[in-house]
Amino acid sequence: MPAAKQEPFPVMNVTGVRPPPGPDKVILTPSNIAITDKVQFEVGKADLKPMSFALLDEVVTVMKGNPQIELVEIGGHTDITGSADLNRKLSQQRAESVMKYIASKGIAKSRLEAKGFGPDVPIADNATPEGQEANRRVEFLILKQGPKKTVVKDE
Amino acid sequence: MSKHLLIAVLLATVGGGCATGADPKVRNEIAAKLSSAQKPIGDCYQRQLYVNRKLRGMYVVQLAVAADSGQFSDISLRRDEPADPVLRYCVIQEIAKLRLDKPTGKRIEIDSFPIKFEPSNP
Repeated sequence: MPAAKQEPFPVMNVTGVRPPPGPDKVILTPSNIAITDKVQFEVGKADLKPMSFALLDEVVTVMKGNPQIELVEIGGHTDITGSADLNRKLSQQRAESVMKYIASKGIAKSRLEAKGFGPDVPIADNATPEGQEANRRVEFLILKQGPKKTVVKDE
Repeated sequence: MSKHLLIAVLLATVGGGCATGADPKVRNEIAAKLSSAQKPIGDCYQRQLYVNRKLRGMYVVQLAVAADSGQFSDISLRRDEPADPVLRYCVIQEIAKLRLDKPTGKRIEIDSFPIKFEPSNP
């Protein structure tokens, strides 16, 4: 029996505000410090690849320019490949590496928190290579922020 | 059970897979549930728009509503113009949270629910 023709549903229109165009790879949003590039590590290790230093320097710049951001969680995430326990351990070490780098650039450690989630918080389907790639990530979530402060630069 | 009743039951069971169009009330309930996900789906889009400011396009979502629980399930995309794995996963997760308040007792399949993603600013 052929399927009955269904009455079409109306289109759900979903809109969003796009950030201004520009070369910035780091964008401050209400809930996080979004990065448009990936933090890169040596394979199977927590060592940052030097190519990621510039990206993290931009994160530092955003944090310095926004002292109202009181606490940022640096979240390390992996895909589901391999042991979940090892992935949690590796993601924790990677988050700590990022925290150490950012702190070394003058951000108070009290504003930073490192947490490794391993494969537990996927943002894409782990059944596809592109999904796995998206799940291997570092996120900067703003956990606490006060009222907007003005940064006064010394003359 | 009489022969006629048995045939009627069999026909109702076989026809249940594409019953959406047959019952406008249920269809409206499904539409209302999907509309209730507009805000979280908008949040999915906004988050990814920060990462990729060119993200836009149409989804055509296919899904089923479970007979006994009314849970939205078997969600997939027939059309995926944004082609962003993170947006796709987030939207499917949000739709998977939905369920009808009163299950209909038969599985319902929706073959086309369109969602259009578009930035509100140039």
